[in-house]
Amino acid sequence: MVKIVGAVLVVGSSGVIGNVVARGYSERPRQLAELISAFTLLETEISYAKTPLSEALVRSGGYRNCIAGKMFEMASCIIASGDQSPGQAWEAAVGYAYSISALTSEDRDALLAFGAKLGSCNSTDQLRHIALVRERLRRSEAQAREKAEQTARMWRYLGLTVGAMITLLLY
Amino acid sequence: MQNEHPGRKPVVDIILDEILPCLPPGLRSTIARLPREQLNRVHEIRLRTWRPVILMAGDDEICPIPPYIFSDDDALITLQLIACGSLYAFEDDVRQGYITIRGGHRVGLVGRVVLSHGRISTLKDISGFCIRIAREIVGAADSVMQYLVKPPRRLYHTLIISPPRCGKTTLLRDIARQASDGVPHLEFPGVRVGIADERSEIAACYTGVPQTTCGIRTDVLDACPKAEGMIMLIRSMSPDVVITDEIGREEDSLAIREVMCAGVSLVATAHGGSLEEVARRPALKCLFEGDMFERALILSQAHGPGTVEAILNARTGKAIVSGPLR
Repeated sequence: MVKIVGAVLVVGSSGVIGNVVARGYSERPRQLAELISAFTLLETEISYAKTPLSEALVRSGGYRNCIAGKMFEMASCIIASGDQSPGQAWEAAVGYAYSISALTSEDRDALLAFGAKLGSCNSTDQLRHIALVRERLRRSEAQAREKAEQTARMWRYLGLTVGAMITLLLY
Repeated sequence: MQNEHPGRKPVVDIILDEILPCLPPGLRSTIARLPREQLNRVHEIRLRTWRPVILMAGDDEICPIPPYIFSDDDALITLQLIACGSLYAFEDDVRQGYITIRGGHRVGLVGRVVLSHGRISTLKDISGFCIRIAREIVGAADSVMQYLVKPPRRLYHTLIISPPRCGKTTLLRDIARQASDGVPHLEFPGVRVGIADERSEIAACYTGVPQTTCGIRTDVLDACPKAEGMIMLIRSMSPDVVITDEIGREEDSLAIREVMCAGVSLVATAHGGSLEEVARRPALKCLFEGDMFERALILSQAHGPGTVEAILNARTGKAIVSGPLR
């Protein structure tokens, strides 16, 4: 009886570990999706309300604890302080977001390219740049989601299999 | 003399609090080092690429020593700071050649004009800035209100006339405030005032909230072309008085006729040296031919900005009061 309970515990806990690792792989597509929706909101703020950048970034960042919220808020604070240009502020915010998120260097480069002309062109060009970065992020998100699904499935199975193997060895 | 007025914030504080944050850091410290009494007289700051920065105090020029040469990088930074890092939000303003910053200060711009289909599409390579310091003077209209009030609850249709930099907007703002809050000694109750503030100079709205004292019964339509703004105000806010700045286009004249014929008092300003000069301006001619205005205030710099040279009956051209009023 004790052996059966032990075996269930071993298989169950390895399965949970496998699931936790698998969930880590779905972080990147989730964060990319957050960024895409934040850029869509930013597009509305710029095209419809012509809201100044620091305010537009705060409004479109969404929840403060999501990666887009943190990044947009940081850029907004630096721009509002007036010490750095919007491009420099954006670069600092992207660097920070990159260090605390699951984003890859490819995602970072896409975001940095957007910052180069930030705040220094007319609304038509600004919107064009938003569309461009969103398109790049959307492609990355689709790839990341596909990759995450495959890897996550593998980790889930691997967790259960390793649990079963340990049980067999101990039995 | 300039700072004796109780309703006036010292110019030096306006420069330090509202203007310096829009300038590049190097220039900020250069200007902040100038003596306070000099800064207190400044009404304009002129920045031109690769030339020394000049501050205008009346007709005097103040050049910081050693001179601060305004570089093209400085011009870029200044533009970014003035536009809050959001040039797209000020596209229309740039096209018109100025941006109004927080506090109602107008920054004139020059650079290279980009044309599209024969019309100005934008300015690029911006190389010159003229920062005009707006000063709110609560009580600036004290000496003229008695001539503008038409008992019991109206103001005469009034046009304030002067060359640039004579205090038209300052006077207009205080007329709006007094009409809105009421003038007890004239037994004038406060009335609803609508301001069509095309260049955000009268109420100096920031995110929709007036930054100047423009009265408790005042509604401000900010950054709206004044011709459309005046009509919108009448439709939406039913004002008793409509206030607007610097009229001069055909469509302004049409809108003004609409306002006056709707039973609403109108107070406006126009550039000009005299009533005759303004009456000859093509776009405003029809207003004078139709005897639309009832009062004309002529301002000058004779005893400093805001000197009222004369108050005229705009229909007959006869002086109601003449001689400098301050």
